[in-house]
Amino acid sequence: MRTTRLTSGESMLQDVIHLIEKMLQVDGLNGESELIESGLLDSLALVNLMTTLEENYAIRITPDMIDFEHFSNPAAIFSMVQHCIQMKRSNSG
Amino acid sequence: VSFTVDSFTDQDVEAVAMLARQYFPEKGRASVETVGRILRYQYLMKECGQMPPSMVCRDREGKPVGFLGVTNIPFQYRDRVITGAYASDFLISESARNSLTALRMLKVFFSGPQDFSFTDDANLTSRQLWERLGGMTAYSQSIYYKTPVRPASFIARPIVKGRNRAFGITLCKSAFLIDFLMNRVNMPRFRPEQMNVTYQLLKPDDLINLMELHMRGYYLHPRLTKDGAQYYLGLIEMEEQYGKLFKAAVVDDRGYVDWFVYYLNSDKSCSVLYSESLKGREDLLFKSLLWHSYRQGGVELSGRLNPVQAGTWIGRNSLLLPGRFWAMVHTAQKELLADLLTDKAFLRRL
Repeated sequence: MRTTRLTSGESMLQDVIHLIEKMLQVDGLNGESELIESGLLDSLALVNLMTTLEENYAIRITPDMIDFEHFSNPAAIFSMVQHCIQMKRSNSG
Repeated sequence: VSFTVDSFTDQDVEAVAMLARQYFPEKGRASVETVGRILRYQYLMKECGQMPPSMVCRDREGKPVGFLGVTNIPFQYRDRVITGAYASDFLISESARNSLTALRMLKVFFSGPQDFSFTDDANLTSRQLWERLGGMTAYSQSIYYKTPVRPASFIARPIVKGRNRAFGITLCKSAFLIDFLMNRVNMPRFRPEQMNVTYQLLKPDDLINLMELHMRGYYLHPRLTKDGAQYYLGLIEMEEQYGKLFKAAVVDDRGYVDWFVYYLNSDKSCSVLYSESLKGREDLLFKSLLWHSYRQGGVELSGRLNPVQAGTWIGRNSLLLPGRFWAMVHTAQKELLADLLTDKAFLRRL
């Protein structure tokens, strides 16, 4: 069973970047790297990325959260993941 | 954002026709003019409804690089009339795939005023996109069948592939002869003399009458008008790239038995678009369909299995192929969604 990782913000951002790099098979991304405009992330890759994020952080990304700004770069994705984790904690608490 | 999503208009027809020919092999067999004429008929006629419209995705220069065809269909749902938006011919050119174009177009589509959205020809990629945006797979509506019409020829077909021509011709002729003899020595899979049915050309009035009789018992089904029936029959007549069209209402001494529509293509495969019977006469439906296709020289029949037909003759005597294409539904209405996923929903574009 997967559990939410309790890491600091910085290392969690690195973790998200690593996941994206692994999935897209690229190196050298940083928080501000453009994923959509650069053409790295297409629709199917985004769907797969969402599934990977859900599995790794035990979160649920709902259809209304699929706002393309949330996926424009790793930092935006990291913020969205943090938001999902907080939502999950407040719902379970 | 490099791309914009707009309504499909007459000015887009030629560009979309060219894209469709490139991405859909069966459309590639028709000319740009023919595909354009079909697109215009299918998506710009008033019978396909107004909202949401079919959509194009344009690049910076305004050139269409993606398309989503939409047909809005009135449905009878329990005691009220609702709108179902049928999505088809969904394509995104390679140049536009890296900008989330597919997800953007589907999001726009789902946000329309329709009560529910559906498709019956989603490939695996489309299915993943639909599901990620809140859509569901209607598994019971996603089963395809394939059944032999001429058993020996059906078996010979895959053996011939990739072999030399002389061997292929000899084997096919032998198989044809075996099929002929099986029929002659009273070993047919169906006996027309026992059926005593008449095949009538399917006309709009027949279609309306048959649909009305057939749809009893469904929670949800299309509300077919005469204009709608004419539109539909007109459309399938235009789509010559699929093969020779046969459309029949089958009648016996008790009245209507069933109706079917299929294309016989050049390799003698019959692609069935619709084959529906009145309640309790499902076995007769497929026997009459098999006999009809046999007389036209058909070797095999294939099509989508209506869930209520799963336990009938066709379900028992066919190769069942789940997920050749997927039927997908999307709606924000929970009760409707539950009904859409049952076999009491007739999810077709009629």
